[in-house]
Order: sequence, then C-alpha cells, then structure tokens
Amino acid sequence: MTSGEVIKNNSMSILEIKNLRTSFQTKQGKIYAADNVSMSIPRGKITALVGESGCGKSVTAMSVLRLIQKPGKVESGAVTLTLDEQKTLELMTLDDEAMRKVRGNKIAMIFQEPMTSLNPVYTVGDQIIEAITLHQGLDYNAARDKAVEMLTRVGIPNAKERVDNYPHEMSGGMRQRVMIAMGLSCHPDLLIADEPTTALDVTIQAQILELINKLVQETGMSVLLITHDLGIVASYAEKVMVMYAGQIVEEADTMTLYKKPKHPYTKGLLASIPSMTGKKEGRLKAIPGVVPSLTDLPKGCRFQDRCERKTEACLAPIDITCEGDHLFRCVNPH
Amino acid sequence: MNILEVKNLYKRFPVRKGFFKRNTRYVHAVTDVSLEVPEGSVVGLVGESGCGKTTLGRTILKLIEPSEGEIFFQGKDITKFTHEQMRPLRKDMQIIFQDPFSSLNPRMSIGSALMEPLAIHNKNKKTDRFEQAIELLRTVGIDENAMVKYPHEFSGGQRQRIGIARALSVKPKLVIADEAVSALDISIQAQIINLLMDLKGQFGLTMIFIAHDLKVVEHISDFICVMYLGRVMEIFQATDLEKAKHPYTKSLISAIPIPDPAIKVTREILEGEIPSPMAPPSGCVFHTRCPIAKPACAKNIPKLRILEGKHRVACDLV
Repeated sequence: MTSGEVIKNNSMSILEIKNLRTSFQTKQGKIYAADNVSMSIPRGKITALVGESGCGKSVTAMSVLRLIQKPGKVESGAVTLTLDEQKTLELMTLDDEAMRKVRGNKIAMIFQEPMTSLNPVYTVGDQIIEAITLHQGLDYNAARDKAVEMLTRVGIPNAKERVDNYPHEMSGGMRQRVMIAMGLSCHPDLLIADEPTTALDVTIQAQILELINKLVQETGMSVLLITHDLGIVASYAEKVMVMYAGQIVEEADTMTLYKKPKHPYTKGLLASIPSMTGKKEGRLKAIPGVVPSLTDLPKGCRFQDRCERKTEACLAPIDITCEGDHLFRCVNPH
Repeated sequence: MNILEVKNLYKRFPVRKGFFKRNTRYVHAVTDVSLEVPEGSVVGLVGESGCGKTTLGRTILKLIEPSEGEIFFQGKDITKFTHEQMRPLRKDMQIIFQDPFSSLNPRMSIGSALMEPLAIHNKNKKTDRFEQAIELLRTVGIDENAMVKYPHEFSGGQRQRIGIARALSVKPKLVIADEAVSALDISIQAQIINLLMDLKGQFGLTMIFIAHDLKVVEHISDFICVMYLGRVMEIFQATDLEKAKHPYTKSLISAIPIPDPAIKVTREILEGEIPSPMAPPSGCVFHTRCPIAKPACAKNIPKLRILEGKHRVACDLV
C-alpha cells in the first residue's frame, strides 16, 4: 500500500495533504525538504507534528499556506481543506486572490518567534485590525472593538490600553498571545502553530498551551501543533505524526504512540528524554549518530545508519505500513 | 570541601539613559545569592528569564565583576582579584556556552581553538599541544581530521562537543555549563548529557549546570538551586524533587509537560508575567504571582532558611 492510497477522503478531517513534495535548490543540488508527505488532520482536535531540526515539519506547514519562496518550490501534491458546509478547497489550485482569502481567514498560522513575526512599526492593535478589515469587511471602529475583545479573550489584561502598544513594549508571552489573537480574529477553521512556545519560559508556555486548548474546546477549532517537545505532545495532542529527514515515519493516536511506538526513531526519541521520576537513571539512552544531510541520503530507509534494528530490507525504499490508524515507515518495527 | 562558596552576592547593571548618560535605573540581575558547591558535585541552577542564573555563573568566574558580596574559590577570596591575579586561576575554572554557533571563533581552525588555551596555560611544545588537542577531540567523540577544519563545517552538536573539549583542555576543577544543551535537538541533547556525565567522572570535575529545563537539570544534578528574579528560592538534593516546598518550584514542576499521556497533571498555572528585573516586586519577589501569597509577603523579604538537612527554602509560609 503506498502512502497516497492510505488517506481516505474523510469529512472528519479538516485538512488532507497528499504526496506533498517541496524542494529547495542548494549548492549541492536539489533537496526535498518535504518528500512525499501525506497526512490527514482531524477536525476539532489538536494534532501534533513532531520532529527535530530539518525534518521538514515547518516546510510542510508553509507549503500548505503556499508561503514557500525561492529557492524553495512546492513541486507536487494536493492539499484539500474541508470547510464546515462540506465545501472543499484544493489549495494548490487556487489563484492568488482566492488563496489570500484562505490565509489568515480559514487557516491561520502562528510562529515561533513572536518578535520577528509581529511588525515592529505598527501597534499590535493595528496588526489585528488589518486582518479583521481585510477578511471581515468591518469598519475601523468595529474592527478595533473586535481587536480589544480578542486581546481580552487571549488573556491580555487592560486590553483597551494595550491594544495601542508596540510589540517591543510587550513581553514574549504577551506577544505570543497577540499572535494568537491575530490568528483567531477571523475565526479560522484551522490554526497551525509552529513551535509556538519554544521561545517562551515554561510557566508562560503552560499558560499559552492551556489557552490554545481552551479555545479548541470552546470553538471547535482544529489545531496543527508543530513541536519537538514530546511533553507538550503528550499533554495536549490527540494524534501525533513523527517526521524524519523529510518523511513521515510514524503516525498514531497519542496514547498508542507513547506506549507502543513502532518506528525505532520514535522509540529512540522517547527513550532519550530525561523523565522527572526523582530517581537517578544513569545514562540516557541516546540515539547514536546524526540526522543525514538531505543532499546525502542513504539508499532506502533514512534512519538506517542510526538504527539498531537495521536489516537487509532497509536498503530499499520503505513504504508506509498501516495497522488500523497506526501508520509507520519501517520493515523491522518494534 | 566546598570548591566554591558564594556569600551574599549582588550584581546590578546600570541602565544609562539621557543626554548626560546618568544612571537612571538598574537591572537587579543577582540579589543576595549565597551558594555552596561541594567538590565533585553537580549543582543545577534552574530558573526562567531574568532569574539571574547566567549572570551568576559569569560573576562566579569573574567574567563579570560582582557589585557586592564574596566569592571563595578553593578557599581563596577571589572577589577583589584583578585580571592578572585571576589569570593563573582561569585554568581551574572553565565555561561551556549555550550557543554552539557563536561560541567558537569562526576564523580559527578547531586545532587552533583547542591549542590556544594550552599555549596560554601550559607553555609546552607545540607538538605536545597538537597531540593533546587530538586526544581531547577523541575524548569527546570527534574525529582528528577536525583539527584543520573550521566551525561552520560542523553541526550544532559537534560544535558543542568541541566547546566541551576546549573547556576541558586545561584540566579545570570547576566547569560551568551555561545552557550547554538547550540549543540542541533532543536526540543530540541526550548524547551531550551522557558525554558530560562521563567526562565528569573521568576528570573528577565539579559542575554548575545552568539550564531552564528542569528535567535535564534533575537528571544530571546532585543539588538543585531554583532562582527567580535574581534571588534563590530553594535549594535541595535532586533526589528530593518531589519534596520541594517553595510555591515557585512547585509551579515550575507543575508547568513542565510530562512526556506520558497516561499521566494527567492538574496544572497549577501561574497567572501573569514575570516582572522585569529592573523593577523587582517589594518583599518576596515572587509574591505577585504566588498562589499562596499573604499581605506580609509584599513587605518582608524571606530569608533562605534551612528546612531540614541540605534543603533550604526562601518562603515564610512553608
């Protein structure tokens, strides 16, 4: 069964990606940062996309919103957005005008570094108002009221005053809340959060994640949470997809992934995190080696040089295996 | 024996504003910190932005001059030591930095970077230094052909290994690891953590491990010192983590997501933002966010008192 056939057209999913290939032109040649990526994001839930640097998770998200620029290019693949009224949109086929109506409106994205994602020369209020007036056609005053309401909703105290703050007048946690307010101002169906709390302190991270969780419960919004933090995933996501070197290597509901991981990379990652048990565990079970460069991939499984379960069969390209809702790209799984 | 003792240490950074560059405000980076580091132990220094852990680490090494207080290294009062007086001690105290991308000179080959401290402190033959450098690389798991390469040719994890090799080249007694694994991917973090623990055993090092990730700190440390807004909130043995009493320590523990979906944590989410170190709250600096704060907490600064054994806490309510 190839990865293309695995995805069934499903109204329980808000977004479906089929065989996405996004390339980048480098000095060493063309690389595929997202190499034949397929996934189905369920409606009304938090789904996590997990992986380490360079695995392709951010590139996948940017490709969905068609934000990839030169030297990058979405070479092929289909992205289907299923809206409430059973209306579907093929995002890769939309013209620029139609795509602009999707970005910030139907699908919103928040980024890792709130300082660099907010425009420093505009007030936070103006940035939210811009999104609202663009997509919802409200006049300035109505949009401003809405902006204040959104800021309050995301837990910013004294929103009426803070709406006129500039980003540099706010802390990292506040700026991230502003990003969330901006993202939510047009009531998107899907929120893509790319490492939204990595740059924040852990007590602030907890606030932001609880906020996102609460908004999902209250509004039925779907969330794609991109992160490398397996603790966040366990606490907030219902479904997890693991990426490695441009490919999805495992996908399952959270409990299954953590308790019965199949792919050696997933299992290795889970085993290498120090846990807070209060007991000294001695050495951590680290995965040996490093992620291969995308310009110099081994033939067959991309994880083989670091895998203790490597066999002859790993030298040929590996397809996804399906066991119900548990998908994995491995011929010698755990 | 305590290899290091810090007594009532303060570090304030002036913020100069205005046409005449008057000191208008201060960043209270480190306030009244006292700490003992027993020889051969790992002390984890943990806290969030603005807590002062990095400043404390650098002040201990005298990379920053203290504003007030005392620092005793191997029994010697180094607080007022000049640059020249510190120089022979520098081989005994080394630092590994957080950012593997900016802590190696991009214009120095790895070999030069490793041989330089040896040249400064050991003054032996160049051929000896060359061999010592290769041996160091081997110890941290880097191939000897790295000697002629430059930092940009290596990954973050590899550069961090090189940074560790550099710190260990002069055979220090005390190593400060300042967020040494925070910028690395989790699978590489695990490798570097293991490496640090192996080297600590092999070289008989004492370590101060500065980090914001309590899970990593708990794994590697013998003692944990929790800081908030420049002050020490609590000190305890790492094995006694669940006996932590300070409300800040407890919310820090509670805020950390556990990588196990079967464990449901009732989070004690702290309200509000971390105050600025330029305007720390009165009394107990934590009182503005503390779930159990009483009116007296805004007036009285709690002393770091002994709870039992090595467990110390700076809170009047526990």
